[in-house]
Amino acid sequence: MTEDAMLLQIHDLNVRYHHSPVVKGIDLRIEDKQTVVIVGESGSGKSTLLRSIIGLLGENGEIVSGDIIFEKRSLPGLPEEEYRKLRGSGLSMIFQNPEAFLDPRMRIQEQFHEAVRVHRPMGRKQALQQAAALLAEMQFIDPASILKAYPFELSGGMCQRIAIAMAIVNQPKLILADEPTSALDVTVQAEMIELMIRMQKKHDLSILLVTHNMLVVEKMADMVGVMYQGRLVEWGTKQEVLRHARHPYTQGLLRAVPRLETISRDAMHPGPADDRKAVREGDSMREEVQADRTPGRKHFSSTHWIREE
Amino acid sequence: MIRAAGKSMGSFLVTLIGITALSFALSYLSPGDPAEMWLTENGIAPSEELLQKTREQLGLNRPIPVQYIAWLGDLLQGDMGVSIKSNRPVAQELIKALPHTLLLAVSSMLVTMAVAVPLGVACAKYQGSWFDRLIQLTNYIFVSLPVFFISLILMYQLSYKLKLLPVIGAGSLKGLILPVLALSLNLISVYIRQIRSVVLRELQHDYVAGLYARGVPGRVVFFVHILKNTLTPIVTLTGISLGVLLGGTIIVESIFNWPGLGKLAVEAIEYRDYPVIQGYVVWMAFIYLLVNAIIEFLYLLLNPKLKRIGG
Repeated sequence: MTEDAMLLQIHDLNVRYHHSPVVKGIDLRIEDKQTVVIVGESGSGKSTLLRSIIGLLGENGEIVSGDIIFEKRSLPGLPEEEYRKLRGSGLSMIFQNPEAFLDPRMRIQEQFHEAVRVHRPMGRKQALQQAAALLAEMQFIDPASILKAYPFELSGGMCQRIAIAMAIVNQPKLILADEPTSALDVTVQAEMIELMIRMQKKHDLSILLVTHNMLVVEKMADMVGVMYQGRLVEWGTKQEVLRHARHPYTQGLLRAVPRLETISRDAMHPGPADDRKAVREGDSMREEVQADRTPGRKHFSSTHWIREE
Repeated sequence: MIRAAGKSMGSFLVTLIGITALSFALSYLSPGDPAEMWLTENGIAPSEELLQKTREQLGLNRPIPVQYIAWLGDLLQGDMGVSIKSNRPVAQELIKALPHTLLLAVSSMLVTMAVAVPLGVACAKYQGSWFDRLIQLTNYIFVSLPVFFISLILMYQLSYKLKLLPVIGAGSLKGLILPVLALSLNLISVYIRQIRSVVLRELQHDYVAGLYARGVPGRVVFFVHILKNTLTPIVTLTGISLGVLLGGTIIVESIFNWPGLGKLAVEAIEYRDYPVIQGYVVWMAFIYLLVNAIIEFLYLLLNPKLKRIGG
């Protein structure tokens, strides 16, 4: 795959929050129509990575160095108005708690109309027709009544389906999904995963999804990245990472998912030592980065945090 | 809706009986004899015989509970009694003072909202900037200064020194400026602080990030979504202030000799003009009920969640 074919490229990205480094030297590439899933524990910098891509780090966050290139445009240097136009049309974001990310005092139809209107001139009637068609795709039986509802009248699963519809209404190329299933109950999670896969195929989307749900990885990922303490410690295809994990943190992470038989039969056996604990004992570990850790198709794992002996 | 109106009416009657009974009792417990004041006011030297006669004439010789029940009965028939001081019907006295108070209250609220809403929003938007700090500092000054002090300073500077505005000027537009300024300066400071704080709280909500992520421009996020969602606390604050102002602002009306309800109430208290005091109390109860009803109605309009529960 040539550089030109890449939809999103992240080069040596370093992000700080309140002057503390949160994302450290991340390199990442996403191809057209590809799904990249980033896994890692809470606080590993996954959500910050997504927010730095969409340019919503807030007052306390800042990109210290590195570059994010989306469709050959460098995002950190983009004027605010151009960045705004890109949000929702070039790249969209789905959040963990969908109800909280919708205006609580505005009907869904007004929010849909606004989401369309801010990117292209479109009458209310036409925008709502488009919204109703999308909601029908999202398996809503009565889209008209859903459009008239307020977010608090809908369940978490319904709000998430609406959020997905709203995210793709302006035909973006890339969807950033921040743990889109973790606020939903288990039965709804599986439905949501199926729905996202269907939407991706139908609308030719690329997805960058962060999660700690291994079922999402198994079902959706083309490429998997593992983040640990702000760094991308392992990268590879789903098969490579789930079945032949190299980094002790990834191995520990997989062992922590006891019921997912499809991931790795080996990972099901209790290990002789607690790798996660070993990984945390960072004081006596050396920091060494592989010479070429740029993630493409090739499976790589960082030697960060591996004991010297 | 009908049930809610019935409930409001019921609570109004209970409140009315409670506060009028209390104010009736307190008026009679306070020192001073209205019969004696009435005679003195009319240039008659009060003798024991005259006082007795006047008390009978004014109905003050009956037991207090009897007087109260009689007054309540008259009120229910629309009769608020006759002022001891002016000998005119209390309703007429209140109606005469009401337009002055209304003018002062509404003008002060309009000025307050026109200045405080944009400044409060701007302070929240540019939190921590020199502009925000300057406004905060000015606020501290005007919040700490009592209204009577602001009134006197304004009067001294604008009327006495610069001779720009009349000291007393009820009835003219120029005469309205000083009392409105005196009331608004304090209110503006309170409102800016409140508005700034509710807007800052609203900015923390996740839906704001959701709007930005959908590409909604900052000005739309601010003026359509955030401002709309902060209206509930602002409406509450406005309702309370309007209730206080419509009761007549005793200090400002007295200082600027503004012939509103506040001044009427102060004079009635000084004179032990019980019918006027009671009339004023009824008016205050009515105003608070009305303002509360309007606030609750606005809550329903502004918060769809309440509307759905109510419906």
